Amino acid sequence: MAGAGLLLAGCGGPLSTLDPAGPSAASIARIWWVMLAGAAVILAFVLVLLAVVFLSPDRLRGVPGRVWIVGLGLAFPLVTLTALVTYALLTGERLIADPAERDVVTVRAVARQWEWRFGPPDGPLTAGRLVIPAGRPVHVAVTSEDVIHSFWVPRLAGKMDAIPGHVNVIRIVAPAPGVYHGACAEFCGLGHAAMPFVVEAVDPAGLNAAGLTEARP
Amino acid sequence: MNAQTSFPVFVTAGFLIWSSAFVMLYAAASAGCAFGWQMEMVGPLSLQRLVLLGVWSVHLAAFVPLGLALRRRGSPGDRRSVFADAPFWITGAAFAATVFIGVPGAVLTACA
Ligand SMILES: [Cu+2]
Repeated sequence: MAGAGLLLAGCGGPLSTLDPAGPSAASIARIWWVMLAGAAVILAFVLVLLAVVFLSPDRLRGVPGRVWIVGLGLAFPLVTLTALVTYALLTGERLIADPAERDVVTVRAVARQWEWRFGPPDGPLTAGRLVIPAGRPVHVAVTSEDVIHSFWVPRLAGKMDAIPGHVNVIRIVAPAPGVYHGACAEFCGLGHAAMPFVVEAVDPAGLNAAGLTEARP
Repeated sequence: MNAQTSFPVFVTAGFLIWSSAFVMLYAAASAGCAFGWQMEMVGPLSLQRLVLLGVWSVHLAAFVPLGLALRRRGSPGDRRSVFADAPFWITGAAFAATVFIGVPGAVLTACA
C-alpha cells in the first residue's frame, strides 16, 4: 500500500499529463491508459506462460514451434503495434490546429535560451506568462530565436517543437479559468530546466486588458 | 554472380530500398512544410501530398525488379540451410515495411 501510494504520488502535481484539463490532454492521457492496460494484459499473459513452463513443463511441449515464432513472435506484436500506432496517429490528427478554424484566438510563443515569451501576433512579448481566454480554442504559434526548444503544457496538450526560422502551431483549450504550468520539453542547454512558464486562462470578459488580438474570422 | 555471391546483395537490397524511402519521405515531409507545399494545390492534391506519394511509389516500384531478380535467382540449392530462404523473407518484410511507412504521408495532415 505504501509503495503504491509512493508510486501514484508521481502522477499528480501541476505538470501531470495524467491530470488533464482540456480535450487534447485528455485524449493523450487516454492513450497512456490504453497502453498501460494493454501492457498489463500482455505482461500477465507472459508471466502465466512463464509460470506454466516452471510448474508443469510438459503442458506446453505439444505446442508447435510455428505458434511461438510466427504466431506470438511475429503476428502478435505486429497486430498490437499496428493497432497502437493507428490509434496514436488518429489522436494526433485531432490535436493539430486547423488553419481554417473559426472563433479562435491566435498568440505567439517565442523561446530562447532560457526563457519563453508570449504575446499577440504583432504585439510586444511578455516573459514567462501566456494569458488566454478560458473556454475558447487558442492557436499558439511556436518558434525559437536560437536553438530548438519545445512548448509543453502537460495538462492542456502535447508538446510542440520551437524551431528557429520556422513556426509550428499547436491548438490548446483551457476549459476553465486557472493557471496551468508549462515547461521546455526539448533539452536546449544548461538553463533548460530553468525556463518554466505559466498559461493563465482568464474569463474572456477580462481579456482586452491583456492585449490579445482576435484572429480574423 | 552465382547464388552464393549474390546472397549479400539480395539479403540487403530490400531494406536498402526501405531505408531510402524512410529518409526521403522524412526529408520531403519536413522540406515541404518549410516551403509551404501543403498550401499549393495541384488538382485535388496538395503539392506536399503529391511529392510524398511520388517518393513512396518510386520506392514501391523498385521492389518489382528486385522481386523479378529474386525469382530468376531461385534458391541456392542447399535446402538444409536456414538461410536459404532468407532473401525472400527479408525482401517481403522490407516491402511490407515500405508500404507501412508511406501510409501516414498519404492520409494524415502534413504540417502542424
Ligand atoms: Cu528550452
